[in-house]
Amino acid sequence: MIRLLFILLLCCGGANAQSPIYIGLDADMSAVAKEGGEAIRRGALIAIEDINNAGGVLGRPFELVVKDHRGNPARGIANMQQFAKLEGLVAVLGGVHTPVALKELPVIHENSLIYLDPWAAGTPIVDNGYEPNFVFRISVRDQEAGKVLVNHAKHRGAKRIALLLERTGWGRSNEKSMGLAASDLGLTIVETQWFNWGQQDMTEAVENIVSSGAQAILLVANAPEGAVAAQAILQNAEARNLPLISHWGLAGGAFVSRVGLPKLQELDLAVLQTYSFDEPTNPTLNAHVLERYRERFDSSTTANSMSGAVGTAHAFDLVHILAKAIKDAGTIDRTKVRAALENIEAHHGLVKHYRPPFTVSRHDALLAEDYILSTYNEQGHLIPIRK
Amino acid sequence: MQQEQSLEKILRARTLRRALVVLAALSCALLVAAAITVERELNSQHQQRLEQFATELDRNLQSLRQQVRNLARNNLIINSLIDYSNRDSYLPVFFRSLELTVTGEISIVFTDFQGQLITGKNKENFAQASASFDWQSDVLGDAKDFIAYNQEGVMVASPVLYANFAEGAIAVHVANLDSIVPSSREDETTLLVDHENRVLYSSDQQVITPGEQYNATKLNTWYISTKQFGPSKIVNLEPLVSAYGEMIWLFSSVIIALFAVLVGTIYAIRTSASLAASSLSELEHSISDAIEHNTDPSALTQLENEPSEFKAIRQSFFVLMANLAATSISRDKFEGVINSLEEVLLVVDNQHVPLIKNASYLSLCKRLNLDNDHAMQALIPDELMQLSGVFSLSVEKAYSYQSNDGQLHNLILRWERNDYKNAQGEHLGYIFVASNVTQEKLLQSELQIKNQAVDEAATPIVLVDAQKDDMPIVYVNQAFVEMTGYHSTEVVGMNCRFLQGKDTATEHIEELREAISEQRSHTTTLLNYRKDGSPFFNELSITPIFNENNVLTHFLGIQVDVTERERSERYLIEAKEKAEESARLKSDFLATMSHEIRTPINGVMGMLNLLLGTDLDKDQRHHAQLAKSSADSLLNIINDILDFSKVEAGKLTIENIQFDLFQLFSTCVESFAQKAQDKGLELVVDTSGIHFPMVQGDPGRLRQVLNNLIANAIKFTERGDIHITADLLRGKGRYSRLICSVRDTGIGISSKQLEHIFDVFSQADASTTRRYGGTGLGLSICKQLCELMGGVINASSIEGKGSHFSFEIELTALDTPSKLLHYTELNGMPILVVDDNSHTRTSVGNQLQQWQADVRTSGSAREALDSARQRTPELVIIDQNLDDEDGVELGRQIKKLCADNEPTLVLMTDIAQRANSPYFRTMGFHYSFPKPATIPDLQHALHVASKLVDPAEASGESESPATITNKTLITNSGRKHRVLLVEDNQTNQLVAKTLLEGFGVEVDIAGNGKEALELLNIDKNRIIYSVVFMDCQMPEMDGFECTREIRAAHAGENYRDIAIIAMTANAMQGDRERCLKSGMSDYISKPIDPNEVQRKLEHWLGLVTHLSGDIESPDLPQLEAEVWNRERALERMMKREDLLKAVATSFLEDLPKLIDSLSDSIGQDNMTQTKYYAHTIKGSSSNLGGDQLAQIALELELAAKDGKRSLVARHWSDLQSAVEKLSKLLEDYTRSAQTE
Repeated sequence: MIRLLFILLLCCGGANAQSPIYIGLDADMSAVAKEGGEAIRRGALIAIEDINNAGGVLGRPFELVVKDHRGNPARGIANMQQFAKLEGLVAVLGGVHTPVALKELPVIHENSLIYLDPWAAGTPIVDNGYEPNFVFRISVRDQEAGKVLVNHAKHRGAKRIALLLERTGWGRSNEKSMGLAASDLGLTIVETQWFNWGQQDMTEAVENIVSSGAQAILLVANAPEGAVAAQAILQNAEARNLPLISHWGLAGGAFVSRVGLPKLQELDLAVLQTYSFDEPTNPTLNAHVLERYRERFDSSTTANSMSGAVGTAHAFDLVHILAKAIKDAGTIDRTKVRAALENIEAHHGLVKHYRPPFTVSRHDALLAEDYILSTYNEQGHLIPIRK
Repeated sequence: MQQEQSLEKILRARTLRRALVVLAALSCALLVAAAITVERELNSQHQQRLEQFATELDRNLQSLRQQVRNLARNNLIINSLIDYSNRDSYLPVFFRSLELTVTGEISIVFTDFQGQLITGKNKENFAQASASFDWQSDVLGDAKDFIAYNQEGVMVASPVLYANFAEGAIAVHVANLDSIVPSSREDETTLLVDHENRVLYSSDQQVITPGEQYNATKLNTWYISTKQFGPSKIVNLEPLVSAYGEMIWLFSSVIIALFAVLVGTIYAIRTSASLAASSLSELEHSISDAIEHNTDPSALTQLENEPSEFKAIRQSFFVLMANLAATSISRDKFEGVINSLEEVLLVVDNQHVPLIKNASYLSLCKRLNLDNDHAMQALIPDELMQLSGVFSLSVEKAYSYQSNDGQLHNLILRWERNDYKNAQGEHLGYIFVASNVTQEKLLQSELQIKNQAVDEAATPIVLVDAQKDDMPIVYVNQAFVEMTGYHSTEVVGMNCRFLQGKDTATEHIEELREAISEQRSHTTTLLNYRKDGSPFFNELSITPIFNENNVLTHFLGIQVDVTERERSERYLIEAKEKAEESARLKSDFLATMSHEIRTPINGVMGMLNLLLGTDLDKDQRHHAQLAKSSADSLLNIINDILDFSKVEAGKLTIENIQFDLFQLFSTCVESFAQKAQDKGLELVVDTSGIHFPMVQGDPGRLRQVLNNLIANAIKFTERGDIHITADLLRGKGRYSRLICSVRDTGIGISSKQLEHIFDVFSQADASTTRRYGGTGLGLSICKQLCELMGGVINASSIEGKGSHFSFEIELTALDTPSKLLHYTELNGMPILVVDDNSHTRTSVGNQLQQWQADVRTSGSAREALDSARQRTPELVIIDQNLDDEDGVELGRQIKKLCADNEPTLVLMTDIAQRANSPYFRTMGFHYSFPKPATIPDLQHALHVASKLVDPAEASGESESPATITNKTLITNSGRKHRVLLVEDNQTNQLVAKTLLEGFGVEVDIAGNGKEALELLNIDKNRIIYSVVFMDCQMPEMDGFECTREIRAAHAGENYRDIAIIAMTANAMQGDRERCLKSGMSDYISKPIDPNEVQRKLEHWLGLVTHLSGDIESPDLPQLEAEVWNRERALERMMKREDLLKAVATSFLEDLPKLIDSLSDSIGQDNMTQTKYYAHTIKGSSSNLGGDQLAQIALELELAAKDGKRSLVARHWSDLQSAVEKLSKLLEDYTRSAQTE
C-alpha cells in the first residue's frame, strides 16, 4: 500500500515537473495598438525561451498564453476571468491600454492575479489602493512622465503650454500629473483640449490651442488619434511650428504609416521613451536580445528599427524578474511570488540595473531619470534625442 | 355619249363610299384594342402602387437602420466602451433623450460585446421583444447590421465598431409595424403577409385582420395583385367594380367619337368638292378678263383665298408676257465698261484714225500734257506704229512728267498691239492697250542689287531647297566656292553632306538634323572637308525661309571657317587637364609622404615618452624633454602642411557628430592655461551666450580653429589677457550659428598686414616668422575650415594694442541637455565674485546670472568686503591674486565678517596651485580650481555650495582625467583584458605595447595580418582577445585584408565581431572611411596619443579609470553582496565567524584545482565531466554564499548537459571572472582573520 502511494506520488511529481508554468498576456493583439501587443509578446517570448533553454524555473518550463482584448475593457475583464481559472498560471502581462488595466484592477485583486505591466502608464494602475497590491510595472509612470514632458517643453523655451488629451482614465491621469509638473516648473497650462477614441477630426481643438497662445503642445494619445492630431496640427499654419511633445502612446501603433514619412518630417515632434536598443545600458544583453529577435521574428531589424522596442525590452525584463521571484519563492503560489517580487535585491536587466526592481512601497521600476525623449528619424524609426 | 357631270358630283360619289367602308373597319379594331389596353393599364397601375408601397416601406426601414447605425458610430458611444468613468451618469440621460423619426412604442438599447445590456430606453420591453429576433450573431459576431420584422414588430441593430470589430451594439425595437408601414389608398386595402401566409399588417382591419391566414381564393370580389418583399409579400386588394369602372366609360367614349368622325367626314367631302369646283371657275374668269382688258398683270395677285396652284398658273402668264417685252443691252453700258478699264485703250482703223479712246487714255494725255491731236504719235512707240501686218506686239516705253507739286516722275508703260477684226475675220484696224509697269521695273532692279550682294559677299552662303526630300543645294555664292574649293556647278543639286567626313562629330550632325526637321534656326560648328581633302572647322548657321503661306521653302546656310579659334580652345583644355593631373599627383605624393613621415615620428615620440617614464637624472630628463618638445613642434608643422594640402586638394570633409560645446571650450582653454600663466597672461572664457550646449558638427575642426587662435593670441601677447567669448544663435528649426571671438592685448597687426593675414604662408611679416616661429599656414587653414563649416573668419587689430579674431560657423543645436549641467536654476542664490580682471568678473557673473543666481561682482578686496557687509552671500568666488590683497586673506576676512551665516568660499588659483587644494581647504576654502573658470569648474563650485558633497571629494573631481596620463585601468570584472597588437614596425610595437600595458591590459604581438589570423585561430573554443589594434600597411597581409578575413569568420566565429581599432599613420582624409569600410570598428592615428588610447579602451572594453570621486561610481557594497553574500553564509554557519573563515580557507584551497579540472574538461570537449565539475563548483560556492559564482556554474552545468558548446564557452569566461572576484573577497576576509 505504502509502495503504491509512493509510486503515485512519484508520478504526480513527474507530471508536475513536466507541466508548464503559464504566463498570460492580455493585450490588444489585433486592433489599434496591435504593434504594442506584438512587441510585448516578442519580448516575453525571448525571455521565456532563454529561461526554458536554461532549464526553466523550478524545473518547469514557462509557457505564454495570449488573449486579445482589442483595447476594450469589457473584453479585458472577460480575459482576466478566464486567466483566473487557468491552472498553473502565475502572472499576466498587460498591454498598452491604461483604461483596460484600470477596469481590470478589481478582477486582478479578487483572484490574486499578479499583473505585470510592461506598457500602460496610468499612475493609478500601480497606485490603485489595493492592499496587497498585485500590480508591478516596468514602464513609464504618468506622474513621472508629466514631469519629463513638461520639463522638455520648458527646455524648449515654452512658458505657456497646451494639453491635447484623450478622454479616458489615461488622459485624466496625465492631466493631473502635467498640471502638477507645470506648477512646479513655473509653466502655465493655457488650454486643455479633450478628444474621444475614434475621433476623426481635431481641427477645432488645434484652433483653440493656437488661439490660446500656447508655445508648445503636449499630446497624450494612441497611434490612431495621435495621427489625427498630427494631421490637424500640420494643417494649421501656426500650430505646425510649435514643438509637439508626446507621451509614448504613438509608439504603440501604426503612427508612422498613418501620418506618412514626408509629413512626419515636418513635425517638431519629441516622443517619450524608456529604452533604445541603439543606446544599450547592458551591451551584452542588448546584443543577445537583438540577435534572438532577428532569429526569431524579423531578420531585418536593426537597433533603431524595432517596432515598439520599449514593449519588448520591458516585457523581457519583467519575465526575467518574475522568474527570479518564483525561484526565490520556491513555488508558483501567486501570493508568495507577489511577496518575492517585492524582495528581489537586484536584477541586471536589459533596460537598467534594477537595485532593487520593486519594494513594498514602490511597484514602479522606472522613474523620471530613466526616461528619454526620442524623435523619428528619416526612416520613421525612433531615435533618442539626447546622445 | 356620256352625260356631262359636274366636278362636284364626281368627287362626292367616289370619296364618300370608300370613306364609310374604312370607317366601319376602324371602329371594330378600335374597340378590341381599347379592351386590351384597359386590362393592361389596370395591371400596371396595381404593380406601380405595389412598387411604390415597397419602396416606401424599404425607405422607412433603411432610414431606421441609418439612425441606429449613426448612433452606433457616434464617438461618444465608442469612447464610453473604453472609458467607463461617469458613463453611468451620462449614458442613461443620453438614451432617455433619444428620439427617432419613427413613432409608437420604441426601445433603444446599448449592449457590450457579449450582448450584455449597458443602458437603454424602454429597456424592460426590449428584453422580451429581443427574444423573437436572432440579432446577436449577426451584429456582435459578424459586425453586420441586422434588420427584421415580424408580428412582434421591427428590430434593427448595428454594431459599435472599433478597429472594424464589434465591441458593442445599438439595438432598436419598434413594437408596432404600423409606424413604419406607409399609408395606402382609401379605395384599396394593402396587406403585408409573411412567408407562412400569415397577415402581419392590414390597412383595413374590416377586410382582414393581422394574424389571420391569407387565402386568395376566398377574396373573389377583389382585384388582387401581389409583390414579393424580402421573405414576405405585399398584397393589394381593389373591389372589382372600382377596378373595371374605367373600362365601361372608355367603351362609350369610343363609340361617340366614331359617330362624330362619320358626320365630320361626310361634311368635309361635300365642302371640298364644292370649293374645288368654284375655284376653278373663278380662275377661268380672271384669266379671260385679263386677256380681254389687257390689264396690268400685278392686279391679278390681289385675288383672295386663291389656291397656290392657281396662283402659279397666273404668274407663268405674267413671266411669259414680260419676256416678250425685253430688249437688248444699251450702248451706255458698253461705254461704262471701256471707261472703267485701268489700262489705256485706243482703237484705230487701218489709217490710224482713232475710233475709240477710253477714259484712262484721256487722263494719260492730260497727265503728260499732250495735245489731243498729236498725243497718239507721242504716246505710242514708233515700232508699233510703223510695223504693219497682222500680228501682235508688246513694247515698253518710258515717259517723264511733272506733277502739280513740281516733282518729276518716271512712268513706264508696256504697250501691246492687237488686230481689230470683225466677225467675218476682216481686218478693220488696231487695238492699242498700255499697262503701267513702273513699279514692276523698280522691284526688278532692287532684286538685282541684292543678288549681286549675295554673290559677292565675303561670307560663304548656301541656299537649299527645303521642299525636296534630299534638300539639294540650289545656290552657293563665290565665297563658298573659295572656302571649299568646289565650283558651284559641282554642288548645285547635291545635299550639303558632301562637306562632312569621317571625323565630323555625329552629335553635331544630329542636332542639325533635328533643327531642320523642327524648321528652326540653329548654329553649330562642324568639322568639314574641302575639295582637296583638307579639314576645316565650319561654324554653320542655318535659317529657315518661309513663303507668304508660311510654308517652308528654303534653308539659308551661312558658314564661317573657325579652324583657328577651335585650335586655340583645344589647346587651353589640354593645358587645364595637364594642370589638374599635376595637382592630383601632388596630392598623392603628400598622402604617401604623410605615412612615410608619421611612421618615424611615431617612433621618435613614443620612445621619448617611454624614456621620460624611466629614471633619468636631471640633465637627461631636460634633454629628453627638449627632444620631445621639438618632435611635438615638428608634428604640428607636418599636421599644418597636411591639413593645408588636404584643403588644397579639396579632400578635407567636415564631420557631423554630436558634442558638448561646454566640454569643448572647457578642455580647450584648460589646455592653454599653463602656457598662459607661464607668460603671466589672464585667460578668460565666457560661454554664457550658449544656451543649447549640445550640438551637432565637427568638434575636431572647431577645436583646431580655436586652438590655433588661442595659441596665436598667447604667442603674440606679452602682458594683459586673452578673452574668449562664444555665443550660439539659434535660427529657424535647429540650425544655429556659433559666433566665437578671441581678443588679445598683444603686439597687434598693421592694417596692411591685416589684408593678407589669412593668405597662405603669411604671418604678419617675415620677421615675425623669424621671431615667433610657425609655418604661417595656421590662419589660412582656419579660414578654410571656417568656410567648410559654413562660416567666415575675420580679423581686426590696432597695432600695439591687440588683435581680435572672430569666426562664425554653422551647427545644428540639439535639445538634449548637457551632461555637464546639474545646476541651472539657482533661484536667486546670492553670489559674490571677486576678481581684479574685469573680463573674468563679467564672464563668471554672466554665467551665474544665466542660471538665475543673484550675482554681485567686486574688482578689489575692499569692494568685496563692502558688498558682503551689505548682503551676506551664500557663495563667494575669489581670485587668489587680487591687486590689493591676497585672495586667501580676503576669504578669511569674509568668513569673519559673515560668521553668523558663513558663506561657501571658492578660490580661483593659478594652475600651478592645482595640487594645493588641501592647503586651501585648511585655509577655510571649501573648494578651489585653477583659472580659467570653465563651466565644469563653476558647476563643481555650486555643487559644493549646495552642500551636497564633501569638499574633499569635490576637489578630487576637479582633477580632469585628461591631465593624468599612464594611469592604470581595471576591468569591471577585475580580470585583465588581453589585446592583440598587429604591427610590423618594431619600434612602434614597443611603443604601443608599453603604452597598452600601462593601462593594465595584456598585449600579444603579431607582425602582420597572417600572423594575427594564426594567433586568433589557436584556440577556437575560447575568447582570448578583447580587442585588436591593427596597423594598416604591413607586409604579407595588410590590415584591411586581415580585417575582412576576421569579419568573414576566418579567425573563428568567436572573433567575427571583435572590436578592431585601426592604428595607422595614414592620416589623410578618407583613410578613416577606408578603415571603417573594410570592417574595422574604430580608428586611432599615429603618432599614438595616450589619451586617445585610453578613450578607446574605455569605450571598447567598458573599462573605468581607477580614480576616486567619480560621481557615477558603482555601489560597491551592493556589488559585493552579489559576488559574496556574507550574511547568508554566516547564517549557514550558525553565526560563527571562525567556522566561516575555516570553510572559506578550505574553499580557497580547493577552488583552483576544481577550476583547472573544469578548464581541462572544457578543453577536451568532455561535456559529462564539464557538467560534473560545474555542479561541484556550484554546490561549494553556494554553501559559502558565493551566489554569483553559483548561478554561473549552474548555467554552465545546464549548458553542458544540453551540449550547447557556444553557451559553455560564454559561461566559462563569465565563471573565470566570477571566481577571481569571489576569491579576492574571500582572500581579504581570511587575511583579515589572520591579522585579527
